[in-house]
Amino acid sequence: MKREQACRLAGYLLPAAVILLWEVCARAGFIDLDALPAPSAILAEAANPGALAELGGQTLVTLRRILTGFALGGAAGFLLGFACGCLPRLYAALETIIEFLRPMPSVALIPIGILFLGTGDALCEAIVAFACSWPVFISALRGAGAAGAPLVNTARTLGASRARITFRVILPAALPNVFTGLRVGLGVAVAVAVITEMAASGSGLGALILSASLSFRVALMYAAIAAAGLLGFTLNALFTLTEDRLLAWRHGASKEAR
Amino acid sequence: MSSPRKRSLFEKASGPVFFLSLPLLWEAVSRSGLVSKLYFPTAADIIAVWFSLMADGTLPLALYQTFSRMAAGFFTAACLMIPLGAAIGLSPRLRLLFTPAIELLRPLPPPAIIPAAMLFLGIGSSMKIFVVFFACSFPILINAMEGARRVPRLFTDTGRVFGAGKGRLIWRVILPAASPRIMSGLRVALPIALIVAVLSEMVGSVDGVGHFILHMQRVFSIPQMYAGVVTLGLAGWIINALFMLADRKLLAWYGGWKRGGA
Amino acid sequence: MLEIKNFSKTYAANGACPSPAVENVSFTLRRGDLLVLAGPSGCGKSTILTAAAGLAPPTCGQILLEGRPVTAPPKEMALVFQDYANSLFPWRTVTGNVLFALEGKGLSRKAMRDAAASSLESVGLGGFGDHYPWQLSGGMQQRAAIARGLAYGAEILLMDEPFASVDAQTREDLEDLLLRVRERYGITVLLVTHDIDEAVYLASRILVLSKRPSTVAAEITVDLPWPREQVGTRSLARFIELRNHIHQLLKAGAPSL
Repeated sequence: MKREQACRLAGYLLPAAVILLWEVCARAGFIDLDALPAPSAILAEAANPGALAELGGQTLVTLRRILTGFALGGAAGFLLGFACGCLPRLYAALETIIEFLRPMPSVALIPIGILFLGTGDALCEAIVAFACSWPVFISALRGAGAAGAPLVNTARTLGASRARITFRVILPAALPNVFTGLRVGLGVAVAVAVITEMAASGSGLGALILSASLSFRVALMYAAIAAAGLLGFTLNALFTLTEDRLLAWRHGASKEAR
Repeated sequence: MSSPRKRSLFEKASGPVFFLSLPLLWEAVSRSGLVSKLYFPTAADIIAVWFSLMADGTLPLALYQTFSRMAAGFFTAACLMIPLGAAIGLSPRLRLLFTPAIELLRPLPPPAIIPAAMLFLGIGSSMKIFVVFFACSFPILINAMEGARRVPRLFTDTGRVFGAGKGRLIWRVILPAASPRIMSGLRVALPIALIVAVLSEMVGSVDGVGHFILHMQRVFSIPQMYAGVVTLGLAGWIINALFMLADRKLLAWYGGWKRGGA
Repeated sequence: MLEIKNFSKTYAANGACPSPAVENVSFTLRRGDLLVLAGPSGCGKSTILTAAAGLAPPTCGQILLEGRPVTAPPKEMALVFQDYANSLFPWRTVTGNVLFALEGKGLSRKAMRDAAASSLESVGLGGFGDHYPWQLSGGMQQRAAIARGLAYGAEILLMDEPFASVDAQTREDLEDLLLRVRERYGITVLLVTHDIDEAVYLASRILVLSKRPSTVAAEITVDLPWPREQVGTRSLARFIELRNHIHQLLKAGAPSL
């Protein structure tokens, strides 16, 4: 028990120790400050009002793109996936196309997107939507089968109509799966937003990271990288919170099953 | 997967038919003049350009560059992170020790480190390999961890009862039992590897498919750009298909066991 | 040959008060015994067995095999679990699972294959070596688990509710199979069950355990004639007498409602 607590404590101290070591090495001149400034210098840069305003502003730009793209992609992925899950014929017709598009690296679409959408919000949102729709699609497709024959047949013997079965039985049973897909999709959305901004946009965190690097404002670059991490962390935490609230029934069910 | 049922002729045929009609649809849109022909060249043009780019070696060379970086990063990540993840998964103490650090780094979008990597490693191959490695590490590590942690107690107990020492227990019991989860980590990491390799070429490079596509867009060689995109799409599809094949071979037992056990 | 001395096991659940599962149980397994530990569900029978196999040490007391304390699974013992689906390795074929028991013994490939084949033969799984366990019925999987124990060359077979997860007909077949291979291989068996009929049918001796925390309520020598036979043995007056006796013992130990 004691040793466990020691390990837990050491776990929390480990990142702190790495940062401390980094600071010491930077001050002692063991690392190239042009590539990796001291943590304190990065913190000081982030606290500087001008940089802070820039960081905050670009974070909001990226956040807006993530949310719009995620909403569009999530909705599209869910609708298509759930429809394919419920209608085997539809899925059979679309399967080949889907299986071709799905492994398509989303970055490859950026140059095409630039042609039609320019390099602004619309491009980012479209690429984010494309990329994050796939995990949601797959999970909705699988989720539509989660209710299982016994549950569906029970509903049928109780005289439920097709529509009622779809929306009152299959849909709720699919939700845990769908949420898992949405969570993955959200992570994808954050990464792809940063990717698109880096490859093709003048604004947003991704663009800020790249331009800061190219103009040798290295401390600002690291601050922006940290901001991207923080953004990802916060969105994931908020999502988990929502999921736990909405799907509280699932915990009870899985506990019973054990 | 859902239970295997008989597929009607419609179901079998409709997929390929729809798929093949896609280029035709493209051709129709392009010819109709709804969209500027400059941005939307005909499918025939794209295919012709694709063949000439394949024949003169431009695309094969670019593909080779992209793939060698992707493979190097991916396999390095697999070789380091599977053992590390398994070790962390098996030892509660290591788990406590590393969890905060992992949770701290995990939400960081991997592409965000490309500019930082450029500062250290320049814009050569080593930068791209490193970025691919970094991006692949988390899914592989976390899945190996979970896989090793969730090996049913009964498997290891059985191993011990029949005289397995530590080595045999790890290689013959824990590793196979964790392999479905390890494979799913690799499956998640694979497309990430391709995306990050291509992106790193777009952001800082003078070669590779990523650079090719973006460059062709900038100089307005639009059919060439589309040819590059199609190549990447095909490449992604082939990699995925190969992996699924390996997965099905290696884990044939898993599907049967799950179905039988349920 | 196997001695359990003053065995106690206490589980300390996180936060909750530690609750004793088994208290001060002692018994001796003699060579050739078919000793059955019978008791109500959740009385800690399996705990004793797991400890005897060297998988989890007792809180107090000692486990001695031929006078030596058991600290790790000894090579003289093999264990057959109730949950065959999770104790046969699903990534190995039936033969592969049996081979697992032989891999540590430094035999040649050929000798290993032969030994695996002959032990599969003796449990009636001759033609099924190349199947995966999950392709077989529950009863056949449990046969494979028994074959693995035999191939290991164990002198003592520990069995934890081995037939609790199969249907009644299969169960009788497996009971008779156990009696046959025991005779043929001359192995000693320690078997845990909550089924009184099964206990009486199989055992040479029965140890009746009380409810949690379990202690030894009675030790009964089963003086039914050998060989046992499903219909004949079960209709003997002595069989019914023993069965009712154990039933009463267990009922007495149960809390009154």
